Amino acid sequence: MFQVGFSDAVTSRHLFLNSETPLRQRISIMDMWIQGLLAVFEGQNLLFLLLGTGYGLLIGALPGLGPSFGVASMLPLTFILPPSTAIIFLASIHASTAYGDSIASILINTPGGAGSVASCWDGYPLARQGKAGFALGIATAGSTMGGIIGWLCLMLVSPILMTVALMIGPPEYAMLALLALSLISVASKGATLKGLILGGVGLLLSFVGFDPTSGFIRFSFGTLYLRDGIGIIPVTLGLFALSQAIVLSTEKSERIVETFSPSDRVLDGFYHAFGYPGTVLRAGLIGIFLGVMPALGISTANIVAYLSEKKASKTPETFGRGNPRGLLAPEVAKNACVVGDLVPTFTLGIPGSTTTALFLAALMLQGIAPGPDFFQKGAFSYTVFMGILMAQLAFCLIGLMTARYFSRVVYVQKAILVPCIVVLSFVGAYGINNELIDILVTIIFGIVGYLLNKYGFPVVCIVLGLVLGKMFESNFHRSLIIGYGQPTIFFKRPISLSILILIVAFLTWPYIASASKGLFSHLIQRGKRKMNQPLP
Amino acid sequence: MVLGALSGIILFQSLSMPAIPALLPRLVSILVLALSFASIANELLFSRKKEDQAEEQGREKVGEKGSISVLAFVLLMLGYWLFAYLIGLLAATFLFMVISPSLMGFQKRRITMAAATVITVLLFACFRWVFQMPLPRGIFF
Repeated sequence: MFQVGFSDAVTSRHLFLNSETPLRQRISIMDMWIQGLLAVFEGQNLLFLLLGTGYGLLIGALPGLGPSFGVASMLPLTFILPPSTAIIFLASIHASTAYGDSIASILINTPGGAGSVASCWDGYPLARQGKAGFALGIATAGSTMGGIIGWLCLMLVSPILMTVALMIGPPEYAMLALLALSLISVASKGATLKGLILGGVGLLLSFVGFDPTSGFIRFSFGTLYLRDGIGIIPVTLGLFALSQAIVLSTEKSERIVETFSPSDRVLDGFYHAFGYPGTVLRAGLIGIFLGVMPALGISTANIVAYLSEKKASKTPETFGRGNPRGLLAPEVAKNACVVGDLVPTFTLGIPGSTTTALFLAALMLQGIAPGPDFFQKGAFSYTVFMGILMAQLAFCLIGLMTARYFSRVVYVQKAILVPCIVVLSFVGAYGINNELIDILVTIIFGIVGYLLNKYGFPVVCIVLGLVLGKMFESNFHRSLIIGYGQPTIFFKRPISLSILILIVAFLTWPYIASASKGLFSHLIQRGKRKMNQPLP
Repeated sequence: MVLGALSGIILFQSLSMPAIPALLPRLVSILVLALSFASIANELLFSRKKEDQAEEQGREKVGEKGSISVLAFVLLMLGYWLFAYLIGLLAATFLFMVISPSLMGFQKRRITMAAATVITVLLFACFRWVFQMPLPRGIFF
């Protein structure tokens, strides 16, 4: 086996196998891929890949619980796992939850999560026609193909972004953290101001505890607990899992009027899905594009894919009445987006969605910074990438074999489900430090999350601020040291300045757009009035 | 307003800190304060319009009953946390699993008891054999 310095092997050309790559390095890269593949099949990695898939399917099938809950609830467990196992575990939960979400959409016309809204539109009519198994088969094939398309994108786009990541320094990383915060705020439509406030609050929470530059203890209010800072896990569990439990506890159990069990063959639908390559390609590209674009996620991808498929169809009137393409397109787009979301997260540290913000938190907990650091950990990145591919195949296989059994989960009573969520959250919070006080922090953030959701605040901004806070602060201070204490360093470097301009553009765009809209409508009104005036 | 007050506390605290560790907390808290004022002004200026729109859309406000059930559930969770100190996490989990479904109006006692037993046993097994971590014992047992 050839050994080369892995720091060299992180650049884009090393992840590609092009003709200019020396033979020795090409063999080394192949060696890394094989090592990655073999590592996925090692006992612990494989076990957690399968466990993650099973858990993801279970959570996905439960109406109202989506990928962010699935990943957030298992985040504490990753703390005791090796880095590659932790990320593979979360990736398998993420992929299979996104797929499992469709089970509830198809069988009871209730989206399992925001990413499977469009799956109801043709999935449920198919179930009503007695083709529930067929619909589940299409969903399985579509999600798998989408996941593989997303994985190919991860392989191709990551190296390109990595070359950018290698060119940038502390000022640019500080600006990228701000860009991530502003993008997520802008993406929360109509709540940009609220998103920015919460992003700021998240940053303020990250300042609690030791200052990374001077070691000074800040905002501990004399308590021992706050000296180490506010933990990401209790906050995340509170904001995403417990707040969801509070919401579910207030909802009345809806009586499901019409339910369908998959009595026909799931495999028929699975094979049928391969008959629409155009649909798969179109929806896959939409999913990838919306996934790679920071701040746009599966909630947008599945609907956009459905609508574009309907537009491209020669028989749009059949959509909404059980057209297989109407189910296949959102399924492909959803899982392509799920994997595509990981590209900016792993390469630049800009999470594309709530769930990938949790991936970023998991990386930070493992002591791995996104960007070059992610790719400089031996065969780690290769193992993770192969693990992500295997996660797609795992949910496909398990889904085909067990979809009809998992579908029974959709009928679980909320009164039993809610206490289970609470216990899971509390145990997760306790397990990190073996301290019961973490449970109290989870409860506090659960209430905060519930209230913020109720008043339309985008909760993800707090987590993002908390996760990116330390990275932002250390890079901010490092930049000041490089710039001899002058903040002008952020304006002098072209990439930093470009990111700053982007931030300003993103933040001011909604206001400019609405102002220009108002101006245009005013001009049109004036023009109409003039036209209606009688000629002299 | 609450978030603005929180940033005000941070700003006040940062005034008594050395310059370097206080730099970013000061900057961010001033920014959050300014944004909070902008948000409040925005709400005050457009709240009338929004209220009218909400009425037109027939949006239902969360009733008193909903708020009481949220409060009851939060109190139950706080009780769970307190009882974990007193009687240990396992016993507190079993109690919580038995009480909370009935609080949500679920009447099937057998299913509740079965679910509570399964979850408690799973919890014990996970801590004992998978994580090999001690479960918090209470003051009494």
